[in-house]
Amino acid sequence: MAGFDAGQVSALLRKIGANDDLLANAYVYGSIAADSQDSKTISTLHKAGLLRPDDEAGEFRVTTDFKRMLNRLMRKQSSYRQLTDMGKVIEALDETVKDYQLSVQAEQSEDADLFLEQLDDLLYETKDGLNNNLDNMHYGIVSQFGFVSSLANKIRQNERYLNHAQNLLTELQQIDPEACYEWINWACPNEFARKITGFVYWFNQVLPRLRFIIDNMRLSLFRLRRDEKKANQLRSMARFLRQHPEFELSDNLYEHPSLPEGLKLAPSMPLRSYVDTRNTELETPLVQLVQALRKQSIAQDVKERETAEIEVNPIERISYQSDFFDLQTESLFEQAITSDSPISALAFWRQSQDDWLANEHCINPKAWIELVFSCYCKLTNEQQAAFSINMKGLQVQGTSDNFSYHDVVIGLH
Amino acid sequence: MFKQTIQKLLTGAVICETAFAEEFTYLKVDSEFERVSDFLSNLDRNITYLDNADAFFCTYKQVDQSNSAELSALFNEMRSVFRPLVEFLDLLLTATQADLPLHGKSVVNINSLFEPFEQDQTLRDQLRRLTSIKPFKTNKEETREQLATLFNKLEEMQYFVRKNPGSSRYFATARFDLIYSLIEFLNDSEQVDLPDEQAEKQDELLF
Repeated sequence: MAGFDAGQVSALLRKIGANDDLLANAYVYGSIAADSQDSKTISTLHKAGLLRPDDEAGEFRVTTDFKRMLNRLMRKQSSYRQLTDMGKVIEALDETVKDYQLSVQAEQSEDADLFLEQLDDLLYETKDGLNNNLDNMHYGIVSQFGFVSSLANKIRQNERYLNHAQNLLTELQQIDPEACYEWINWACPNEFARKITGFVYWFNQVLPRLRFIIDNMRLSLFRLRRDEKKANQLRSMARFLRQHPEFELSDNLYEHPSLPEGLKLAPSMPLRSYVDTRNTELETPLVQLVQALRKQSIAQDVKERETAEIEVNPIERISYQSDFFDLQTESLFEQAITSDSPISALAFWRQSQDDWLANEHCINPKAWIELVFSCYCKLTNEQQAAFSINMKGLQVQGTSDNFSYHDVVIGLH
Repeated sequence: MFKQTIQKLLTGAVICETAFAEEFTYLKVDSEFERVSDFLSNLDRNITYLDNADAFFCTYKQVDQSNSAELSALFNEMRSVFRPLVEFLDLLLTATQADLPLHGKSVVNINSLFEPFEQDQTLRDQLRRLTSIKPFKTNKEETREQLATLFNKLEEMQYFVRKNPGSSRYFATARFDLIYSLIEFLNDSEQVDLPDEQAEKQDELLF
């Protein structure tokens, strides 16, 4: 780029880098005070065009150029009043175009390059500035002027933005982009023609965008004013209600002829439905439903059961085995009944010894007596009542109710 | 979604982005809105989109014998809560020192209200008065508890919704905007004569 070498630019950037804190503070807090320590630094920055003295003596602010650059880079909500004098821009463009044309026609290629580059910068700046301007305005609407918090300020900002946008539109409408085609109405190089047509194309797109923004701003202003009105009416209503404690809404407000549609709230409709029991398709779910309702309200958890295999053995057939002595006790009771006289178990044992031995049966007398006694015990209550049992025994020494028996006599009552 | 939306509308819901986001998106589709509207017209109801509130709800077509009793009940209920609600909104405006009143989509963090109320006796007195009348009536003595009762009651009445039950952030629904519409109507139809705030401010400045 003409006029500067890279060394000069890097020296400036170094200056910014070396004083980063100081410049950042000046940018963020608006101004910085120069005390004795850094007055030298500040004067260097002043010379470099990064700081400027404030109205307040001894205070410095960042210069507009630098601030604008930072605003842009930090994407801060910057002023929307930028580069709007399109008439002047077009004049400047016109001059540069003429210079370029003359240089090309005079075959001064170096100068022509310089003018073409100037033109390019100018076009780019114009486009970028206006785009940025529109973006800012758009952001203002979209964020509902979020950079100010109170409603009154929002309204004021919206009004200012709208004014500005409308002025801009009027100004831009006075420019006829078709006239710019005059600039390429000679045997110009392609590169140049492309730049100019690109600019015209962009310009034609800007106007609808601006109109769109203005429409939205009007809408946004309308909404904000409505909100303001809402707030005022709310406050007034609250005050009115305090002053008029007797006030009540009218009884038949719903019949008021001018009640707006938005207040004609419909009463809520209770929604219920009944089942058509004739519909066979509904039968299964209905039965399930009824079953579910019948069950206890507390649903019992279904316990997981453990499974185990069951072994089934074939049933064994066992032939009836009669016990000889069982039969003998039966015959003792039988004898007691038939003879109608009491029979001693021990006497019966003695009598039967010959028979039993002949049949090769043998039982200990003690076991026999126990067997007879247990047989008596096994009888039903009625049978027991029919028989009398007489235990022959002696009280065990040292006890009150324990006996040792040596015989039992069975008789009939 | 059709059935769900119809059910909500018929049972008196005010469908806004905060309270019923799904149904709201559904009704924003023109063709679906038409479908719902056609259906409701068979039931003597209109579906109304209120621009101020950005909300949909059912409105009646005309007053006749079939609905006058129900309407009377509904408007009686509205009548009973109108004064407390206006007072609540005014109180909130004072407490938050804002000039934009509560409207659909605003968020109120109840925790941020404790401090202004604890520091200002007048606010506390107003709050006590508000919680001594229906529907915000409570026996609670503590300012925090009174505020919590107030907000919970408003949540019950569907003026607020919360994303989860324990949250301290209350999202206002479009029902609040209906109150402003009502105030506007009362003023326009000259049922009440509200003083012009702007003129009063001017007067104050003159003094």
